[in-house]
Amino acid sequence: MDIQKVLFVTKFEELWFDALESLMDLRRASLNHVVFLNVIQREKVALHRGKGYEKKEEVRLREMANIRFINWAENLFEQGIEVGAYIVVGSLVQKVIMAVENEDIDLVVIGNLKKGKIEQFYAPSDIIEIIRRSGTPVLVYKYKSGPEAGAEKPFERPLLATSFSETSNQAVAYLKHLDKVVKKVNVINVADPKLLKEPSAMAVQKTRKESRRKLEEICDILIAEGIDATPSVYIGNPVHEIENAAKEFNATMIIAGTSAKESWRERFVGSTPRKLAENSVFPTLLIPPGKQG
Amino acid sequence: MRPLVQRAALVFLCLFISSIPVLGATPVSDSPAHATETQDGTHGTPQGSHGDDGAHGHINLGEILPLWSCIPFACMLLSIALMPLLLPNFWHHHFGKISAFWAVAMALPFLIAFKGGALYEILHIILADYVPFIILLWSLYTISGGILLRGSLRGTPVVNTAMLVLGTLLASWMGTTGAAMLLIRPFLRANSYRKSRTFMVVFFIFLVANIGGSLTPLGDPPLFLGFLHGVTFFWTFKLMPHMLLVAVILLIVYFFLDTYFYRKEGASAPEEKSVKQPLKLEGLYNFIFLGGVVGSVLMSGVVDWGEITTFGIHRAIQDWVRDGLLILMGVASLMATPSRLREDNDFTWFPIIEVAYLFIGIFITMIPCLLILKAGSQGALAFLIDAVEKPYHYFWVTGTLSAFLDNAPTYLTFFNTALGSFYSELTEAQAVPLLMTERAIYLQAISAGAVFFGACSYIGNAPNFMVRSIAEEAGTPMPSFFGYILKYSLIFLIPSFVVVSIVFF
Repeated sequence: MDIQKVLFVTKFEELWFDALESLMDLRRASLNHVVFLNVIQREKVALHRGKGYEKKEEVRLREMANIRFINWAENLFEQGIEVGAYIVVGSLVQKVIMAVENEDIDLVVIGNLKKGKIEQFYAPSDIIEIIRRSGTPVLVYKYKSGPEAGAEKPFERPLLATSFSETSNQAVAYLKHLDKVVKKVNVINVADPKLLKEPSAMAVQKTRKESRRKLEEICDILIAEGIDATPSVYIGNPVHEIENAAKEFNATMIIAGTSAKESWRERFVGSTPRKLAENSVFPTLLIPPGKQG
Repeated sequence: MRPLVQRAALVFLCLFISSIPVLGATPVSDSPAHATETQDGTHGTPQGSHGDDGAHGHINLGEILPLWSCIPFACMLLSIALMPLLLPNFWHHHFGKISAFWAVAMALPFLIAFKGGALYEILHIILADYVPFIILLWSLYTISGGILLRGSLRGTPVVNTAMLVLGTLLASWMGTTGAAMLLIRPFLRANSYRKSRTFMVVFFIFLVANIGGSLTPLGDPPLFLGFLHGVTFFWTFKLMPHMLLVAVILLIVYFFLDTYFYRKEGASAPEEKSVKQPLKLEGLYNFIFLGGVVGSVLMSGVVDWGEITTFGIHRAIQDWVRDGLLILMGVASLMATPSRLREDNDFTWFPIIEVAYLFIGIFITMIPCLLILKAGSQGALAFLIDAVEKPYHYFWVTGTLSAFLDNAPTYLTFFNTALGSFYSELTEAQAVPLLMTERAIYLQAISAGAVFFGACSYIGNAPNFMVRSIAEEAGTPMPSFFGYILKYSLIFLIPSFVVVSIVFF
């Protein structure tokens, strides 16, 4: 699947134009259209005790966003990219999904939306919710060394974390189309730490070998597409091990498939993709189940 | 500003603690005995405590607490009333801290001065009042936020009046907030083609967001507080004549106003311009959960499964079960209702989080005030109790304060004023049934005053400002804070209340 149209969601607090510029490599993977989205949270302009709806504040915020987007758009026009923009009041998830549906988006780029403990309890992860409901890959963009250090090219050296599930295979399929952008992929699998409790070392080795074989198969698929790929097996806590591996290989991004877990289960139990999206220092590309390939 | 506030708090703390020697002359300084009594289930403030059950200790905090111990309560209420108007942005970002500040300003010196007795009172009001209060509001808010009325009607005078009647009837069963949130957007959509819409929304606030909630403890927070303090579930039906009188007056006025403007505007719905969407109610299963809420609250008022002690506080088992069921209903609604439906409802947790933060401050700071009022003529607020004598006094004083302060604590204040006035020698458990029967007219006056007058300003009741905000967002101009009072409340509401006062009180 090509990435022709990207939705770039920003609050101007966590994601800037340099992040978008770092994705311009995707032009080699057919990127030709960027849609900006700025969602003004309803609480910022409405539901204030003692005040009504603050129309003036809404206009001010819209104007501020508009000026930023015009600047950015001019830059992109020069690079031959089409640009569209939405500046809307409402709920982030709702408006992102609306834009994805209206614009037929191929990739959503969004900043890390950290929530407080209370919010986490009350509401599911916005990112997981967007993936689950839109069926579109989401890149949770992060500045590896803080925004001041500038942005790397995330698609250059991704680390693909696979559990050999159907969704992980979707991620492989997704990567195949990025052969002109991706230089090298480290493909890893994190084996269940329960294996370490096995009485015999043979059983552990057997699992490791089996994982290694499957990883090599994935690497062969990628190599056949002209993408350099290396397999590695880890064992332990998936989130920690994926993070460690990304550091070890100096990866520019982590790619993982998301499960179709029910949002309620995901809210209470959490999931590896959610934890990676929220806590990893690396940009994280989450692939939804069932749509790509 | 901050050093000034800190200094004020310090002065208040010193004042409170410096009163300990004076209080120490009374048996209250015997705090270990007090604490022991608490563990025995008989705390030391028989008349002065909430929900006490015939216990008789040897000191009544309400008789010895000074009047200025009510200052944090007054400041808390004034903060809620004034700060959103004077310092709206500061309030919006810091209301939780302001609430916590006043709560600590009361609780800290109170604990230092009265130790175990104070701890008992704080825990009691949290477990017996605050927790069930917030749980009920949360569950009603959550469940009603999962019901969405789609489609569009044509806002004629008849249709609009019918919507107001429907909202007024629903408000007592799904809470004024729930009914208002369910109907305000369809109401605005139906009238989007009309030129004069402001008065429509104002009458919507009057009827759906306030007056309609007067028939059950689920309707408006003050009535649920009464329920928690022993007023039976169906007692509030005694407000039916009062509610009907005000509602009918307002609906007739509304109908004539709407008809006048409808004809004057010569408005016709732009049917041909847009595809008419049929009316459709989504999330209907949430009505089952609403039924579960009604059933749970009813159950807790009917059965008697004994008591259990939590942190030294006695609570009826059925009350805990009710709270558990209400949480269950809310969680079930969250699980059953698709996120998309709540988003289309513009559902947000902010209002309920705001209420939770504010009410912990209100409940803690109001402890001294409630204790003093319950002490009747022996307490420092004897002058208030002596001044408020007749039912119409209760109606107008409770009402006037409810219009500008929050109506829930105002209700509880005058509920306790009545108890202190008529039954200061009895425990609350003994006094409330008598207040409901022998002196029912007083309780009706307090209840009607608290619920009805909440409509008088944007800050009288939580849904008022939410409806205003939604209406303005949808492009309906709304009057300013004072414009609302001067152009609408004084013209339409107050004369209706005068009629109620003459007829019933």
